[in-house]
Amino acid sequence: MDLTINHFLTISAILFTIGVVGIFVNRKNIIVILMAIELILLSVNINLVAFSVFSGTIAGQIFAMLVLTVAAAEAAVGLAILVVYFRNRGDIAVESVDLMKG
Amino acid sequence: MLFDEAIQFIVLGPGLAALVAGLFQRFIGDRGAMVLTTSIVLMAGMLSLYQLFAYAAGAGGAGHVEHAALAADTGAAAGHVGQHVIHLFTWMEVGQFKADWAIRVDAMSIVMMAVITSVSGLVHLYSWGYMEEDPHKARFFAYLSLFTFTMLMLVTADNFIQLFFGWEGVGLASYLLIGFWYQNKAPNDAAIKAFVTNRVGDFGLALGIMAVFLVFGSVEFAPVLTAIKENAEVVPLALAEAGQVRDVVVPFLAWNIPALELIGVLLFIGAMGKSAQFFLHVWLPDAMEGPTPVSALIHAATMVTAGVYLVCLVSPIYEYAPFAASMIALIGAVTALYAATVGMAQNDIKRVIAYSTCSQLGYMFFAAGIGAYEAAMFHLFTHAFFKALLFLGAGSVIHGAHHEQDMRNMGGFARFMPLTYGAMMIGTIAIIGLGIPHVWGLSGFFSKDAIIETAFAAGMNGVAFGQLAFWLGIAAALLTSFYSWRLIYMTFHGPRAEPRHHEAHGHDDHAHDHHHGDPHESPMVMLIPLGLLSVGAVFAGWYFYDAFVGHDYKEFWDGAIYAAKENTVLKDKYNVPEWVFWAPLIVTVTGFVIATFTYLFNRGVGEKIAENGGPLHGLFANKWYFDELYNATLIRGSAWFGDLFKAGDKRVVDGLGPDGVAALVRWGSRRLSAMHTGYLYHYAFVIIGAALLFGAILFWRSGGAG
Amino acid sequence: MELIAFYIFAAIVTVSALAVIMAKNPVHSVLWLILTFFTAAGLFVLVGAEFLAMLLVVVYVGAVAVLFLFVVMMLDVDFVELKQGTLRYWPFAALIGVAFIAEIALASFARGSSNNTSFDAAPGADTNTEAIGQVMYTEYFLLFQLAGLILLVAMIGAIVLTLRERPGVKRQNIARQTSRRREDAIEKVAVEPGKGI
Repeated sequence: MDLTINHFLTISAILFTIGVVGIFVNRKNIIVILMAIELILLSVNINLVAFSVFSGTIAGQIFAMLVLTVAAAEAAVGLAILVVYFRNRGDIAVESVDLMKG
Repeated sequence: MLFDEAIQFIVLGPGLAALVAGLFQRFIGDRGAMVLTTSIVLMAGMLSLYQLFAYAAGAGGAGHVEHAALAADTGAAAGHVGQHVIHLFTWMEVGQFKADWAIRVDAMSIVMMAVITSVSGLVHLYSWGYMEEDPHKARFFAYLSLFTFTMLMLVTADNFIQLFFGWEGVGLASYLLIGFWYQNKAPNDAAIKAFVTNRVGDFGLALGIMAVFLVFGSVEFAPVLTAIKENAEVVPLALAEAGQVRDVVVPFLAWNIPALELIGVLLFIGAMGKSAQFFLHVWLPDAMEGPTPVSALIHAATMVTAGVYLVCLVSPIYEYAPFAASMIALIGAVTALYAATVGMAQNDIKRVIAYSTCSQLGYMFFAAGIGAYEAAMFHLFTHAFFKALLFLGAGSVIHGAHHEQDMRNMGGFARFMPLTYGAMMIGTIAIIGLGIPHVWGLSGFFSKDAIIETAFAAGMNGVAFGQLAFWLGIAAALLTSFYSWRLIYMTFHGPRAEPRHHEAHGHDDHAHDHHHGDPHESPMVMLIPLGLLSVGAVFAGWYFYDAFVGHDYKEFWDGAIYAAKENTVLKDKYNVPEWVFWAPLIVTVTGFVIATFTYLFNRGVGEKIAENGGPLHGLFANKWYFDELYNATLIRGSAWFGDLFKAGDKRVVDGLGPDGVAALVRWGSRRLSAMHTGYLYHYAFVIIGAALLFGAILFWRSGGAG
Repeated sequence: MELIAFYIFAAIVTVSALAVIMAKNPVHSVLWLILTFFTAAGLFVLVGAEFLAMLLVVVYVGAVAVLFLFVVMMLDVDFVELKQGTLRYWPFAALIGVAFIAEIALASFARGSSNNTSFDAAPGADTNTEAIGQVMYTEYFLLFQLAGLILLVAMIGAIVLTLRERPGVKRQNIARQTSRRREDAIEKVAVEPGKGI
């Protein structure tokens, strides 16, 4: 059996699922949530590149580049927020983020 | 007739003045508002008086041809020769129903325009002096001009809807003006009473207009009245069968009511309310809570005459609705006598004149009821002048006596305010109709005697209630003379009375300063209107007698008032026995003698009779206990009826509606807000779950597996 | 040959992704994340998209993951033992995971799978980089600029959020320095001999 697009789609799906599960199974700290989001974005990238390569259009890779850009920006800002939050609250346990209750 | 623009100025000018004075008082100040409104209304008054004189002069000759020529080129359907309609713009046009804003110019509206604007202009001028110390002058003048405008709209209407607009508008202005000193309770109550009582009448009027539309398919005067005059075929919209209009019958339950009778009765109910006739008269005396210029303008000269105007305007209807006409005659005659009896026993100077107005309106109505519409209009015309004169004179007395209104506290004012005294004398002589038959008299003599003579003639001709109207009119004339002279004697003659403890009613609410020295004459600005009105009161009757009810009446009215072939009362009044001409004079002098005896020569007799008067005096002084009767029956009854629904309304309607919905929302939102746990992973979970759901939906919508 | 490489890479990626979310020590999580990125880059190279692979390494690993590391170390987070209570959520999470996988699988393979085994990462040019370059600065130029703007905004945002003025730190205020006048700088005092200031 040769390499087909299905392989890549499968791996992308697995990574995506791991990322999603990672978001809300983790109770330790918020940084892991951000990393899980990065995993999701990575899986999307793999998907895009796979389609681009197997369909012969370059647009998918361009799209993947832009996704990369956005992921980087989002990670930066997310971490900045996290830092400020830590300064105010002192800890980043997910369970203690409940100030918006009610 | 004047140019169209001039007529538009007459009618619309006061409206504009009211708007500016009312809304922009901040910018033009009280003075500006007063000057603006007064000058516009006075100019309109002068224009319309000129119009009236020109029209009257032209009526008996060359002018008639002019009118015919003018009638040929009116846009809208000319209802009769001599009618000229200035179309302003269309208001509503829905299928068959068409109502315009228009100014109808014919004899009726020319007469009314002259009366309204001239009296209103003089009242405006008078109020410069009377309302001197009031802080809300601009509002007062705006309301006065508003009233003038809506009344003019009423009289120049060419369809029932504009008439109704004017009708309601004057009701509104009356409410605003009666309750002008709204800081106190009494004026507020009086204003509400006036408005609500009027509303009862207005309901009848509205039903009448609906009936007109039902039967005729149109609410414009021209087609409706023409159809009646020519006995045309009409096709009612519903209920009644098609046929010649005088025979159309409206079936209702078990009865078949002739359409014209139905319309006539309903319209008259409206007139009863507006003109304070018997049963719906209770608001007029309370309306005296308003400032005296208001009483003079609205409750004497103009608004209360709107009912008479309406009845005469739709005279074709009453010519062919004998039952309705007889009802008018009966109620009018009864009112005339009733109000006169009550007026005899009142102590407030304004209330005496108010009941006098009510009585005189009764005269006008029974004249209309027996077919002498022209006589009714003539009395309306002269009455406006001398009644306004009497009210303004009373206002001058009140003003000069530092806002004392109880006649028992007055006396001997003649030497303090001679000019006012003179004006009141003229007014009194006018209202009692003093004059020498076949020779000359003041204006009241001409108009009242015309009515009494036509009443007798109608009685001779067998018109329903003609004889009754005649005798009640004679009786009322006696009482009129009595109470008018009583007023003069109590106020101006005799010794100065001791200020007694007064009941808390009927005060102009200015400062309580009765004891500030002697009464004084009023300023010039208040006396000039008195003088001008006196001229009107003296000469108006004599000058216009021929035009209104005399030999030239047909040319003057020119079709504006219609009389059927069988209705010859106006001509027959010349043929009544000689004693009928002298009867009014005899009763007038009798009343004068009685009044002089009890109030001038034996000053205390009047008071003693009042105190020991017994049941009759109690009956008269308490207005035949009408207010108490209405309170016990209608007021309590409606309150009880309303209370019936209170519990149900509260529990059911409010429970299901606003309160119920609010409670439901509160319950739901409490449940919903429990979803805000504040935990990040709960939120993330919901986001992911939603994403899953979305994906599934999209998947299935795009065709599913395979 | 490629297939074997693919399976190796796939296995590593899966394991390290799982390790990211399950590691106790957050620093370990970051390191596992870096491994995931590297392996994904390897996957990209496998198919011939080397430009993107290098981008992944430079940007993701070199910038984003390092940023993560900085923050983790700066925030002084404690080791957290896997608490008993957290085991409770795993079945639920597994359910969600299965649901997602099933959905994606359905969506991807519902209409039958593809048999195409040929791949071309550089259509219209010799190398992948060249192919990307051909369209990047022509057709997708606007997107390129917008991406730059997004990064700018993110940078500004991050600075604004975390910048804090510390009191007591001595700084230069250039504006004040250059607007100083001679009169404020020098004060002439007449000194009596022997008296001092």
